[in-house]
Amino acid sequence: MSFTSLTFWLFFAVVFTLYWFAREKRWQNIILVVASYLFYGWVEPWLAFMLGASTIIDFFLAKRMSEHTSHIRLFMSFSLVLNLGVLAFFKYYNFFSDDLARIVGELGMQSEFLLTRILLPAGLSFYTLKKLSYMIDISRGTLQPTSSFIDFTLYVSFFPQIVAGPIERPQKLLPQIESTRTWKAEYFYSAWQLILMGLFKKLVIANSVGSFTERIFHLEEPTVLLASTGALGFTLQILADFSAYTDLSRGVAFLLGFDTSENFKSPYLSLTPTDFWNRWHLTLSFWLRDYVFFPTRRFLLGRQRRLPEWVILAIPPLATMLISGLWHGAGWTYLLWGGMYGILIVVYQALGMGGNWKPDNWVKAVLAWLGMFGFIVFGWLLFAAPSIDWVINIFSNPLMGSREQQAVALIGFSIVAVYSIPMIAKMMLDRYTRENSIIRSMYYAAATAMIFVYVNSATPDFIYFQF
Amino acid sequence: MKAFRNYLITSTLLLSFLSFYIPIRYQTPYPKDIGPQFDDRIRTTFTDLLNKEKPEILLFGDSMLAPAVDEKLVERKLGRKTLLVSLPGTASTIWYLMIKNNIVLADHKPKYMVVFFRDAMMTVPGYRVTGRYFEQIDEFASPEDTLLIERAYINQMSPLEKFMEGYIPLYSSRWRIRQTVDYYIRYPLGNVLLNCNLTCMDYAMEVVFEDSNLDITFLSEAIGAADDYFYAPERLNFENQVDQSFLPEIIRLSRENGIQLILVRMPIQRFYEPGSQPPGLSAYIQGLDVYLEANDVLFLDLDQKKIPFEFFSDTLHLNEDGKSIFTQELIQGLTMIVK
Repeated sequence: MSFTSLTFWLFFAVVFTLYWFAREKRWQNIILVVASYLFYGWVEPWLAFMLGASTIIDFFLAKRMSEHTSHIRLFMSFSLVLNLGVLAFFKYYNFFSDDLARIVGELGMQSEFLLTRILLPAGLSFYTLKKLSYMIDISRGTLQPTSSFIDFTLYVSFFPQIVAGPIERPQKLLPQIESTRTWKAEYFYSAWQLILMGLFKKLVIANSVGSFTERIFHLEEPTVLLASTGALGFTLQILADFSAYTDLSRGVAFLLGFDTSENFKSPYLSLTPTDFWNRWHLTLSFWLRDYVFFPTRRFLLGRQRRLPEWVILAIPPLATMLISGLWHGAGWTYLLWGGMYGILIVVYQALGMGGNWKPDNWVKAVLAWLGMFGFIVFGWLLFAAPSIDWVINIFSNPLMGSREQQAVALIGFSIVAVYSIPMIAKMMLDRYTRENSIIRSMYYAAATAMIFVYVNSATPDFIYFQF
Repeated sequence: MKAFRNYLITSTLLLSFLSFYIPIRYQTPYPKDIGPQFDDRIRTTFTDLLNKEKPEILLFGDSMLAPAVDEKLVERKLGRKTLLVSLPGTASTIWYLMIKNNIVLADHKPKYMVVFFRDAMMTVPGYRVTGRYFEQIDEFASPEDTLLIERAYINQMSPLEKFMEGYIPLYSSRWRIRQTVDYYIRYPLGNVLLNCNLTCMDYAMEVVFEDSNLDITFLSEAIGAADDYFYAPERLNFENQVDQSFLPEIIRLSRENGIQLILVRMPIQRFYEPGSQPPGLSAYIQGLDVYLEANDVLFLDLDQKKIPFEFFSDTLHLNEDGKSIFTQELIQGLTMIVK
């Protein structure tokens, strides 16, 4: 069930009515759990069973951990193996199955069954990280496990976030789940702009740009110019698409009385790679920072005397970014994309442009932005490419190509230029106008009109559903 | 609160203005009749073709047909003049229109009309009728085609869509507005920088994105995604679907004009693995078989022959070797019918 479908909004109308009529917190949470499982298992009911089973196991492991502190490592290891094992199996099985079948076949055993494709359950990567942050924080003693199974189940399965985040931390969501919620008009006033912008960015911008870029990335041999157009298009598409999903998720959560996390802060204005990861997919970025980067760095600092300084500086960002790449999918392109950011962070640090770097004049700022934007676009080219060979081949393909290829590239540039105007305009309005200014109202009115024009029953899924 | 109030006022003003302006700009009535507006002109390509070629057997289908059937071999083996019409991007709705407004109006009508389809294609009137498919529907339809408007368009809409089609001009004129927006995005830059006009830019899109330049997995996935439409459980319910479709009309038109209708189910790769086919598909085909028999329509289920993977060029279309196998199967099936 997609946030842009009529089915979802009918479903939400029913949930919303029942939820606010329930008044009592316990019933409200039960309604949300039922709604979340219905939402999640709508197309494939077995996904809901799998989610339920893993939630039960983690709930009891967390309880055991707090009751038997001497066995924390054992329970934590079990949870890690379970969560990461399931994630790895579903995410990477298809990637390795061909080789596995070949090896098994060479050993003279039946191997056909290994070639069966496995469907990655939507949202698995997101709710696994949510559960892991709960388990890790309990094992570290920074969080007390909730005694309510319903509350924990709702934390994991909360339907506005289940499919593509934001990857909410228990410290933020659980207290809201545990508190009493009564309807306030502010919920609506916080939600409407997010829902409107979410629909606008998905239906008008992401879908329009996406239908063009998708074809570019499926050309057998695109010219350099066409590939650049595709990369620029994807740069716009993925921001519009993913931020639309986050806006809709936050808007829906607000209507249910929950304040959830932002994921984007003008990421394409970044001046350095560290800056980019402090603006792009924030909830994933902070998760990786807290559970991968800092622990790796602490571990290496503990061995400071035996290790050269560059190892301590380089390994944590490299490892974190490689894991980020792997989290996005099983494929060399994702790994290379993550690796590229890891290397960039290390190089920028070595150049003195690390975390807190600020340019001291506008020329440096413009140059830094241009450089970083170029890396971002190239990064998305790697991310969206069908294979590494495809990317390598681009450099041996013609630069401009035939007149027809140039004409299509021009169409692509026009599409990107035109559809980025509303994104840039919104960013400017957010910065330079008041919330209730008439210019903003006009922008939202125009966005509403455009939604009527671009609404279509055949809307493709949000890109981040596949991760 | 103030922000929302301002938004409400501004959008009401803008939407009211557009509701007034758009019907004038596109010359459409308000409220608008639900469903598409066809012009009076009907293309007579196939009437003319039948009168010229005078075939006894007409082989009719979408893009799957041409790579699957050797027309000359069929003609030679059956000893009857055969005409093959393979129209990419078509489906049962446009076939109904072509039969009604072209084939049965020809002076020379074929004795046998063989329609090639895949799975539930014959009973999904809403398949391939909107967006870019609308233009080809429009070429064979007239405002008198009320059954078409009802079954292919109005019946496919939810009550909300029907309301919006009638009363929200921004929504009902969305395809035309989007065409206008597309026009201003696509053409000016090419015209200025490459001196490439509208026709030249459209040609460039066709050349660059022609099937042979695209990776085959993408094409297969795109076809698969489109075909998902007719594998939805409700569309595999034959009893419910048949009376809402154009199949009864196609049968009636053929019968009344002395044409023996033969339906041929084509093989596809999609559900080759045992147990991979949608749960309702077998029951659907059984229902179709019984229905066709009761209506004196001959049915050849050539999907049962399970042509192996290596004889396909993608998930739907056969390659040259596949063509040779399929044509033999077809001739074998037709020989028993065409005596």
